Amino acid sequence: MTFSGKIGQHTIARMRETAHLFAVLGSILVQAMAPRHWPRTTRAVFARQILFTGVEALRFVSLLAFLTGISVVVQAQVWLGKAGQSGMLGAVLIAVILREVAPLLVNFIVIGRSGTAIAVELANMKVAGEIRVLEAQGLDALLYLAIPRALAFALSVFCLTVWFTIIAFVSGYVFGILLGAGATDPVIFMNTVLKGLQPADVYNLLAKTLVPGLFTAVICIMEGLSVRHSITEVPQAATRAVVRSIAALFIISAIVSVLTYI
Amino acid sequence: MNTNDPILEFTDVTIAAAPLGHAGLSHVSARLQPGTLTVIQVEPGSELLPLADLAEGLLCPVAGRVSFQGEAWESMLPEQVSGRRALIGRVFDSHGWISNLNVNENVTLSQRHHTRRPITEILAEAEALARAFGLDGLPQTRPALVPRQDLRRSEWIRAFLGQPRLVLLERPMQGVPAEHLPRLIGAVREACAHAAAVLWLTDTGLPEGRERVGRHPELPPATRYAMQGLALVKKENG
Repeated sequence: MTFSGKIGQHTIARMRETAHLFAVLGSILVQAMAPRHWPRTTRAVFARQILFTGVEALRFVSLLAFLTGISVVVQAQVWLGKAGQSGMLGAVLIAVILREVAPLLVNFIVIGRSGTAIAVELANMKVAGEIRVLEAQGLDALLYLAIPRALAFALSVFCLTVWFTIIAFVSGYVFGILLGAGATDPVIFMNTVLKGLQPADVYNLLAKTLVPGLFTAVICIMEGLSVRHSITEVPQAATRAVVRSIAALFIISAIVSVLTYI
Repeated sequence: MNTNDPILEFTDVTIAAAPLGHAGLSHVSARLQPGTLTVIQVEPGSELLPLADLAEGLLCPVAGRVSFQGEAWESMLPEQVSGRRALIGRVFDSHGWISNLNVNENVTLSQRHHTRRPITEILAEAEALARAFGLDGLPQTRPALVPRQDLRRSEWIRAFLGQPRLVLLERPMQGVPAEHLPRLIGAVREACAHAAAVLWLTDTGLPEGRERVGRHPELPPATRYAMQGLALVKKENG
């Protein structure tokens, strides 16, 4: 095959994968619109995935948010104070923490903790023939495995990002006082931050948490289920899942950031 | 569908062998009527028959058709396929468990997924079956931690739970002492009494005394077949 032929073949393969990804995503969203029709087993998997992805990540997310608050929020207070631009504090913190740092870091944590876990779990299930066992009992893999995981991912990323932002602001405020860099009155600090919050920031937050969360889950599920016979394919699938999830995260974040400023 | 229509029907089914997978079949035809037992004797070394997968529509024949309750699997919509498979109980020849669910969750999974029966009712039925099969109760740990013979009998519970219309038993006595055979036969008799069709795949490769389903006196009247090469040959009735 010629060089251009190989490029074309690779491009077509990638386009097919992307089309498949969007088809799965579309099916999940359609099913998500009718949670009343979910069987109780699907609801149980959804609750369990919220526990693993959201609740169990709280401690690590809190630690990271605490450290981010110290390094970013305190610095913002110090430098804006020195520049005589303390009135900009709210807008700067919202732009840095809420719009960029919090969604990005939380998505990274979820990809690392839960994305790899579901890719490996589903890949192992596939190799062991457990997907066939589910199908033999009439359980649809999309309804039982994909939908609850994808929706739990999206919801967990959103909630963890809100939590991250709150902890980062609180720790930044407390350490700002200790260093004598920020406002001492918590009400003034809170008002300054809330003044910087615009409706666009809320849309930005929703878009940078729910959408990458869904994509991460669907990519990891698809990579996990893409293995065929051998257990040696499992780590390869996990690696592909992480790399593609991170790529999707950055593409989505960049698009949303650009759209926010248009 | 009439009450005397076959629950499962293989019509001139041909399927190629899969490399590292199941064996092939050539022009296989069989009808499983409600309330009947069908025993298929498998040749030693050819245990990986695709019959159970074909019966559930998990495999598509290259020629012929497999119908469940009068409808060919390939003509059903995905929701119909799921609904029909919910009516089938099965003991798998190979690995038949979801590793990250406990055995009790595995056993009740299909009933919890497809029905609105209260959990307590499902568990009560499962516990009753467990006792009928000589278990102390439904194992509540991961399948990997349950002794092999208990795990196999837990598969029996799952296969008969919820009064299925079709029961597929793929060498169900594997790893189970022969003393438990009458318990399984009792469950088969009861399933037949409730108008289910039972397909029992057995082999002759097991040591004497482990699976003598071929001529057990308590076994209900059965239609018997034997696999000879790729073909299914009818032996006799009774």
